[in-house]
Amino acid sequence: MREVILSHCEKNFVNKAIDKETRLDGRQLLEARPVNIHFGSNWGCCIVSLGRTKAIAQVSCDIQKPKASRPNEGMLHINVELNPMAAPFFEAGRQSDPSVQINRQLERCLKDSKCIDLESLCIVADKKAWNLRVDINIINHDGNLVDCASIAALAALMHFHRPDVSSSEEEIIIHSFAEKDPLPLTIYHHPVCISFLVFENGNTIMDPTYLEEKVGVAQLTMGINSYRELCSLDFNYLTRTSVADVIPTISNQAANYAAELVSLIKESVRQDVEARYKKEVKNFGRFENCIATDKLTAMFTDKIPIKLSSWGKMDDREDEIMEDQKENEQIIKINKNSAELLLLKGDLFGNGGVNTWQNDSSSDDEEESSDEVVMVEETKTKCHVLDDIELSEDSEEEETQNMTKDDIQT
Amino acid sequence: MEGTEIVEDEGILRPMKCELNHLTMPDGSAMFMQGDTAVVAGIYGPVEARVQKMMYDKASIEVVYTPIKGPPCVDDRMREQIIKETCEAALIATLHPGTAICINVQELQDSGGLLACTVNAACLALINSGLSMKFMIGAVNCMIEKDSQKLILDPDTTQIQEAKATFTFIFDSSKKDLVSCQTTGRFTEKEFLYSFDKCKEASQCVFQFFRSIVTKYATRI
Amino acid sequence: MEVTVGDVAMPGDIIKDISTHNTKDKIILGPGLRRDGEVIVASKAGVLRKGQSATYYIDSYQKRYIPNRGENVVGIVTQKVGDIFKVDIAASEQAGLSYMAFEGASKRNRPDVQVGDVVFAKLLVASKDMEPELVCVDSLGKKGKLGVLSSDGMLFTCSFSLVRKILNPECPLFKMLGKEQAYDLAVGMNGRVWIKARSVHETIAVANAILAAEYTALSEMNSLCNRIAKMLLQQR
Repeated sequence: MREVILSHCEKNFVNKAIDKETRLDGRQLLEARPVNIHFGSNWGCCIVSLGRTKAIAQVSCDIQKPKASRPNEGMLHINVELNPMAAPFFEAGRQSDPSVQINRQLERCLKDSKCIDLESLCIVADKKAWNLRVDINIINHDGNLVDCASIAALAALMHFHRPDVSSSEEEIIIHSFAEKDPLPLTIYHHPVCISFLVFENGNTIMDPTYLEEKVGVAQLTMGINSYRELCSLDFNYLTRTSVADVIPTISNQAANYAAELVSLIKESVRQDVEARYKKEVKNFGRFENCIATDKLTAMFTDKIPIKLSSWGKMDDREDEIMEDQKENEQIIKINKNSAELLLLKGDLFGNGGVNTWQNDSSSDDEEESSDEVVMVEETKTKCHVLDDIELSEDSEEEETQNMTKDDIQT
Repeated sequence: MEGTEIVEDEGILRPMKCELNHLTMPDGSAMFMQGDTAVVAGIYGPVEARVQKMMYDKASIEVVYTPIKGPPCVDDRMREQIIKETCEAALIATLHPGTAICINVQELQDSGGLLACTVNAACLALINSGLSMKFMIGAVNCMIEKDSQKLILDPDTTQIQEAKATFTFIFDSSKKDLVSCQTTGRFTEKEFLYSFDKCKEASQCVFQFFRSIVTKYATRI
Repeated sequence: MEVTVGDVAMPGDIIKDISTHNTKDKIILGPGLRRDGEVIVASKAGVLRKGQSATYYIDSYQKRYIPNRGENVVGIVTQKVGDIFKVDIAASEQAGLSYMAFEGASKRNRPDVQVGDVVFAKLLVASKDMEPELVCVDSLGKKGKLGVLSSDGMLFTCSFSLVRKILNPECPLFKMLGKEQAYDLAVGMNGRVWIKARSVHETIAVANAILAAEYTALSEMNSLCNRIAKMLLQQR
């Protein structure tokens, strides 16, 4: 089936909204969708959802003869499959352009960055080595497949444990999990892909949805690890925008988010692996937990693709607001004032709005204090920016130059 | 995980879990778990058929089964065929001539009874897609143990290793007739008929579960 | 299994209430029901409902559109082929829309429709064996509310149960929203909704309200609208 063409009004509206720095799902321009990771009962199996985009990854291994060019290294294969379930225009069993592209990007991000110690996967040099295979299946398409696939691949690799082997002369014994404890892979650093999309007017957004991807003019995917090092870069454009225009504005945000994301992945992997080591029955973060059984309200907010930025935040505090409204009309006015105050600098930091809201409802008798609160926050944000600049100064720029070369090569 | 699951008594199915409309892109989708075996199914249909596969008098049904690791193998193709033929029996394909109904199934985890789980997931996804069906289909898996000759319904991976023969029966919901059946191993006619009866009884649990899931969703919206 | 009105029916269930023996009574079977010999059998899953007079149907969830004659749909023009436009209406086949099917159109005076435009049109022909055909005029040649929709608006999709819910005359959502915001709206039976409001924010707010209505009971619509209005005030 063909993909439905983009209508003029969708295109115009998204562009208009981006002009006004709003996104249809209520996010800030440089804000990613929430990431959820659930593990299966086998080693190296996980479902990752990035907003409504979903991917499944499974790592498997077998023993093969290593490549003649690298006789003392194991092998790593990455295979991304665009399952026809994800979108009606994906075809089964056919290597399409987008799937090749995603495959390439992930290979560059995970394989070429040498984040996995392949030498430790060699059993007998030139004869036997482990061959790792990462299968990633995209099962729901809502834009930004690369990021979702890269998170899934990394989480699965971190989670994966291979069976232990002992080699005597000429013979290799593979121990079952019951005989000897399985071993995790050695991972030197943890790269993830972070995607950005540039629009006609030059605004850049992070983690685009399907609709945004159709409207945008240039796509940039950076593979970054938690040490703020660039591992891969991919720039795909329709109109003339040079990489130099985009990278300086977003590299900082990308590096910060990558660090945040990696720590999230590490934490969820750690929890699951520890539970397994202790042979505990873990009742969160498993496949059965991604089935929403009775979470009516959670499902409710998740399933609305178009919402105001304050929608989700209002949701939690709805009861409070209702009470406030009943108690006193004046309080709402205070709230309104504080909201207006925030807007003056609210463009910088959207989350500030929520904080003051909380402050207000807790200390609604101190009218004057709201100004102070705002001031404090302002300095905070400044601090953040300074920190970032200091941290990134040297490494970032060097890396950028390196990667432009790399970009030309491929 | 091995060992963590309670060994069920004879005649009880493993706990089932399901979320309808799990995915946003497909017209109907379901994530279905039976014990630790998990499957996601997504359906598009009726959609435009490809010229080679178009039938002028009814919808063509295409099934794609994707294993969790590696490229699809012969077993997976066979599963596709079984799902296709069972769904053809259940769907009223003549209502949508010249179109295609695409059933996509993704394996998430196999710990026994994968085929049964796959068929049940496909049926739930069909229910969710709102396509017209003659009846529902429900699959039950069972095995005969090598040593004790005991019948175990819905076995898990560890139990299956002790199996002499395994059966997967697929029933319809209106007349409770057999729609399709898949067996492995050697068994006598008596054993076959006995397991058929037991599975037929157990299929009521499956249909009851389908109904409870739909009731939950129908009353919510 | 046998079910009665108000119950959840599953495909293959026999509907007890409807008897086929009395040939004098006229019974209308709506979507999701079919006659199989002597009995009436459900073919979709959902709540069995009875409309006025003896009309029965199943209220089921569905996302893929199956064209029905006389329904208004929102489509996207994908192609110009000779004298007709091909319009995607989210069904299995693209619908045809003749350039003569616009108000005041003639061989000389062709309507200004471009590929990528969004049209609100009525299904003139919808049969399972034929290509659906759209028109943008009524039988008197007037366009009424049909025609090309302005490209300033926003388009989004939702499930059919939501479309039916908001188009129900008893649903207070649009009236309540209208008290606070000014907006133009076209709801197609194919699950596509087009909205145009004064600003981007307001458009998103209306879309948010409509999508949230899927999970909101009719009695709670009022608080939903208040919430949306309050959020808009805050953002301004």
